[in-house]
Amino acid sequence: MVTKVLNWINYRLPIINTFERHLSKHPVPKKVNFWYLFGALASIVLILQIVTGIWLMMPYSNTEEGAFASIEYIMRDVDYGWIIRYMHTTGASMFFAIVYLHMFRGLLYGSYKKPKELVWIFGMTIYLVMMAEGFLGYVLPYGQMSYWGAQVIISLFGAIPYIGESLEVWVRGDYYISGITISRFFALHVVALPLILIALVFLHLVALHEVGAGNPEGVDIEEYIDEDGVPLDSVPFFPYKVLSAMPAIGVFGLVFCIIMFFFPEGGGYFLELANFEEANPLVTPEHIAPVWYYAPYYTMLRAIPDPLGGLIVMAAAVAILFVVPWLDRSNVASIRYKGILSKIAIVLFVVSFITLGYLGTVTVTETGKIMSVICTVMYFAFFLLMPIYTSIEKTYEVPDRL
Amino acid sequence: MTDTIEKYLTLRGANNDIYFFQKRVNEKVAEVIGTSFVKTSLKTKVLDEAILRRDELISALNELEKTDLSELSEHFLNIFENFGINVKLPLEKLNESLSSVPDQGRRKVLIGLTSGFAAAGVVFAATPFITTWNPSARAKAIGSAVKVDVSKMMIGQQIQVSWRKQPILIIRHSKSALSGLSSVTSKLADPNSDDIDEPYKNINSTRSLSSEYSVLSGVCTHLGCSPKYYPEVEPKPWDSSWSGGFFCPCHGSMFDLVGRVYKGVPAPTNLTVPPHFFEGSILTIGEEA
Repeated sequence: MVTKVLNWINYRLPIINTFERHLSKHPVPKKVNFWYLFGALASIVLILQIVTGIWLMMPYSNTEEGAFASIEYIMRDVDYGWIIRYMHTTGASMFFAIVYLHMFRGLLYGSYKKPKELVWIFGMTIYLVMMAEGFLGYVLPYGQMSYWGAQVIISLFGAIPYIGESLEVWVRGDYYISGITISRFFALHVVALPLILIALVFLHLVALHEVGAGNPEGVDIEEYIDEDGVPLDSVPFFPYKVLSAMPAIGVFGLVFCIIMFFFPEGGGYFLELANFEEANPLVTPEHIAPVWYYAPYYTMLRAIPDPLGGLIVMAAAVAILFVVPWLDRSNVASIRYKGILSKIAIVLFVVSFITLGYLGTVTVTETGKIMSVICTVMYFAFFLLMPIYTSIEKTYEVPDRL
Repeated sequence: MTDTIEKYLTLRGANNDIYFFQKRVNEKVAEVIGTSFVKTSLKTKVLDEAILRRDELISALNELEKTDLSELSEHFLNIFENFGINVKLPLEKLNESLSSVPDQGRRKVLIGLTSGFAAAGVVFAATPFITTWNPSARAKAIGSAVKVDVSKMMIGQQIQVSWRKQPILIIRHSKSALSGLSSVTSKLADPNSDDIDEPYKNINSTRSLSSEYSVLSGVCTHLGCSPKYYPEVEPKPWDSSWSGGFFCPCHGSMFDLVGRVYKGVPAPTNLTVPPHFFEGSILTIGEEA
């Protein structure tokens, strides 16, 4: 009976074929390491964010007078409201942590190499939309950090020559960040950007399934295939990958819960202490820092003594990631078979990125200023010199099979 | 067909039919057979038969790669035809487009006109979506002038009032503070406010209409934070020879006691002076006298 119904549907809508092609029977490389888990984890967190987000929308009030109070109401008066909110805020930080690791995996193993350029570009667009989504979400509680963080970000538009100032007012809809701004950010945060995000995730996956997943060796498994066209070095997604990912998902869940229950503020890095105070347009908090996931870019912005220059450098830092597939001229994909120059470059890149992140969360000092300029230069050097060091270095031979 | 390309020729079952998949072909072949060839049904459900047909197709592709299209033998052309792949198509298409030239000009004009009208329509339709983001009439109405009695301020004190929900900083300077202003001039980027359009410049050293009070917009000219007042002359983490002034906690911009920006900080210009006037000790902010 069930089969009959399924067949009836499948004849009109190819659900079984699609399910088999993209999930159950989808061939994936048989040998991958833990770096390949973060894509799956990211999709789990995305679902979590959507579900907790819908629940938070119900008691939240998107007005100037009500926003901050409604967050307190969720935390104190709504039954288990605090857990939903902390799930959402922890989820936001975890989403970025996972995506950063996922992106780093891409850089390590050349997940952007031909023919995977579009997979990479869709991924980068997801990252870009996530940054906007995270920013808009952070403004909604209308605490001190919400207000002053938004003030800085919106002022970035003001740095654009000629149209800047009117653009700023247009984005805010007022002369300061008022209820008008909150309700429009709310609409974008809960409807517009999530829709775009889901569409982009869909494209990311369809493009990935078209060209096939990569592996740490950078071997093209489609070079050896059986009579059915299935790569010899692949296993079906179910049960092999699904079951082996289960323990990792369990560990992730545990880490997630520990943070959510014991360190929801993440020491001021996930939820900043100043944000437990209602927004006051007249007083900037003593120490203003972005949430950790924007910190590296924030440091770059701060390193440049000019708003427009800072904006350009910050935008370029993100934009340059999009063109990585064309900057890497190496004939191998994986770092394992790249030469010493690439290995040094990636280590320096990680050091500079983490240092930039750290500097963004602390007060400006004179040494910090010099450090941030050096690290910004290192960050850009990793990308801009990539065509040179990847083409002159001697690479190792990639094996035929995985 | 080279070895590497052969490896991409696959058989795959889907919809109970066996398909011929070709992931990547070289440019020459792609030019002739087009991209539709990427997935071609082998028109059989029997695997062995499919393999035979696949090999047949591969041999034809091999031949196509080696020889010119015009020299391809009838045998191979037939193979392509059997699979519904018209290898002559590109050439025919070329001829066809050459013979049907007369209508192209008119067609282009029509397409251009239609697209133009459609684009104009999009602009009109987008207008309300863009303009609803402007400040509403209600938002514009809030923002009238504020009055403050500044006579009760202590010497050296700074107070803050709100005008248009923006912080306005009022400072009552001591005589020594004002006379010390000239000592920092060498550290300033624009000591005489030459770079900004400001009606009150060069009237008083306070940059306001009063010789004792400064009236400044507390919005950092970098990215809009509110700089904090640190009047004491002592070493600070951000400047070891600090001689009093304003420091922005967001990005570390420094201003002197009358809001003039230091060199080498993110803020590009001095703090602005809002429209104001004094009537005795009553200061009005937001209006000219």
